Amino acid sequence: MKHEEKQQQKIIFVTGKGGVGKSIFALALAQKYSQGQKVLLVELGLHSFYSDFLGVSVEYQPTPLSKNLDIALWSGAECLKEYALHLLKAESLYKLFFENRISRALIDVAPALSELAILGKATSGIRQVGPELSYDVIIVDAYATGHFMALLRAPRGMNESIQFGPMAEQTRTILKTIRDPQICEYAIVTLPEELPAVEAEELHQALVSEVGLNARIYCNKVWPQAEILKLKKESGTAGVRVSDAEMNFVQELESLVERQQVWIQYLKQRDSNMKLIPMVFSSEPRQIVTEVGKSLL
Amino acid sequence: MIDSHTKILVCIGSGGVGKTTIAASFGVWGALQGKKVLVLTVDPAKRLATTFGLKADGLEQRIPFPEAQGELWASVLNSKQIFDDFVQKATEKGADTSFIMKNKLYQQLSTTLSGSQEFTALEKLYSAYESQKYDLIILDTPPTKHAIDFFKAPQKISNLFSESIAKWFKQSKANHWAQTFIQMGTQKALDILQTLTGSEFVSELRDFFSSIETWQARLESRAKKINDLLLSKETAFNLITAFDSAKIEEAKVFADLMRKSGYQLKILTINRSFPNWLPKPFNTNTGIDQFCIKLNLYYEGRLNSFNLMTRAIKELDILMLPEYDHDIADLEGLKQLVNDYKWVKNTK
Ligand SMILES: Nc1ncnc2c1ncn2[C@@H]1O[C@H](COP(=O)(O)OP(=O)(O)OP(=O)(O)O)[C@@H](O)[C@H]1O
Ligand SMILES: Nc1ncnc2c1ncn2[C@@H]1O[C@H](COP(=O)(O)OP(=O)(O)OP(=O)(O)O)[C@@H](O)[C@H]1O
Ligand SMILES: [Mg+2]
Ligand SMILES: [Mg+2]
Repeated sequence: MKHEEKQQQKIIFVTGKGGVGKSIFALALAQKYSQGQKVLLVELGLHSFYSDFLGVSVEYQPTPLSKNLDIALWSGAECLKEYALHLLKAESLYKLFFENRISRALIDVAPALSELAILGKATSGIRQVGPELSYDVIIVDAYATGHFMALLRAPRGMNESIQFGPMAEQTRTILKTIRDPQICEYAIVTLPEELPAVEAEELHQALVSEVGLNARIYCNKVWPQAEILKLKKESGTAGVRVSDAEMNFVQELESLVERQQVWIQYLKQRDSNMKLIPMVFSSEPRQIVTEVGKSLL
Repeated sequence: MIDSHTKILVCIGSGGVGKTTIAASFGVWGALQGKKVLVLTVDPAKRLATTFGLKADGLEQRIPFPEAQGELWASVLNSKQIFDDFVQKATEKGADTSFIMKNKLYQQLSTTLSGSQEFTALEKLYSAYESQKYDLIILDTPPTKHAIDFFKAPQKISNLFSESIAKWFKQSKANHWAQTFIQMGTQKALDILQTLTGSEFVSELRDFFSSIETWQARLESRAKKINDLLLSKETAFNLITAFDSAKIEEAKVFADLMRKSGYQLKILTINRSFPNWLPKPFNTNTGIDQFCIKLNLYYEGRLNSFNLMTRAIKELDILMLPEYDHDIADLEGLKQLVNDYKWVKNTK
């Protein structure tokens, strides 16, 4: 009898400079995957961006968003709590620990601890620890560059300083998982501008050296070059009257796409298959998500 | 706006919104007003640092700005160095600090992004304020996941260093914590921590706490002074946000929270709100005109939702800044930005 092989879970981390469009992109990507697979979209931290944006309440436990798409918000503390409960097996012990002033203070600052717990949670389905995470794809709308690298470095740092005990063991399997190209993908969202592009390039390198994987780069908010060049042609066509003001405007647009092209070429040296996502001229966020989604098809 | 009581202006906001650029522009603004201004900056764009000749050595440097009546000074915050300096100063004279500097937990604390950057920024702010050398100090803040993290960070650090915790660890070290007369709850909590993480981690912690004991008192009193300064009338906050309905909504919630907590939020800066190069439609019905109409509609659409939202914001000055088609990488660019300051709603 033919046995249907269950497909391995995939985890996609979305990162990039602050404000470049990570959350919009992650949502569009999640919607795209949910057309055929079961998807969990995850936000990290204490505050949900999507909850205002989509008018749903977003919590630690997944909430259904649309067909095949759930959404959740993971804070370090909640992830740590779940891990502790998993190991301690008793709510009372857990309370003793987490409601103690000293342990609270430690958890707050001991940086690697909550970061480890977050990565532990993200990879828990694959590593088969803790509650079930039955999704085909987990998309993490992760932190911006600096914090994201701190997140990814946590297990290695922990592994270097602590070699024995339950946490050390967990750490080793987390490390293995985040370095496995069959399981984890890294997506860097950036813009065709100097600072975000340079940051994306550095982030790409940092990811290669930290997890040994090539991240995919997505260049967001790309102005319509072809359309603008067509306008330029129009302004140069004999018989078409174009005012000076219009000429100036076209020139402004032209230099804008020229500059943009410089950074696109720069980024392509890192990822020759880099995807371009168009600038959407809409102030309606949902419409932006839809348009961004179309470009991902 | 910033009045004569204001001695400190703190620029906060989520990642990438323009904190560093705008903090620098307020430095230029202040110097042009005739003030002696210090800008404490975090990780400025390479080109901006280069054109100013700024080094990441933490020293306060004067930036040549001949046409200003005042003086422009700047210093790039170096978190690790400030932390180490602090420890050096706070430990008893002549004491050996190499033990603590080698502790893994200390290294993580002083170098990672878990709140120590915020603490060191404030520590530097306080010592600059104490020096009384400046009329105005502008503080740029480290990138945070969320603007609110900035306020939580010093409290977190000071919780960790609170005297009772260290005392506890010290006792537990002296008597191998199993036999110590200490709070049962804490004893159990540590046993649990050991179950969760292993004994190696706990012993790192113990070493850490026993060696920081000497600078605790200073850290606690410092944290308190910093907190008082942030809440004082002399400190104004400038919350910077992107021009985007979701982001402005977020900023509004945050602004309320700040005010409830007693901070003087004076300015809401909306960065990159409109392009400074976009003309009005030409009414020629050419392809060019149509494209121009499309762009105008786009920016007007954003402006409308902005107007609706800001109507609800009271007792705040709103500063609108244009979106340039180039980076702001030198004094000229910053002067341009100051020139383009557009105050939308003044409280007085
Ligand atoms: N392709 C696009 N076209 C037009 N606008 C866009 C596009 N992508 C994103 N935006 C705009 O940029 C804003 C910022 O996007 P988003 O919130 O996704 O960024 P982010 O990287 O998640 O930010 P943060 O670092 O603060 O979490 C969005 O609210 C949206 O208005
Ligand atoms: N109004 C503007 N128009 C055009 N470019 C701008 C504007 N404001 C800032 N920039 C550019 O945006 C980039 C990011 O700005 P900046 O470094 O000041 O942000 P930040 O909030 O300090 O970021 P981080 O959170 O990473 O420290 C810089 O390249 C800067 O030149
Ligand atoms: Mg986001
Ligand atoms: Mg900055």
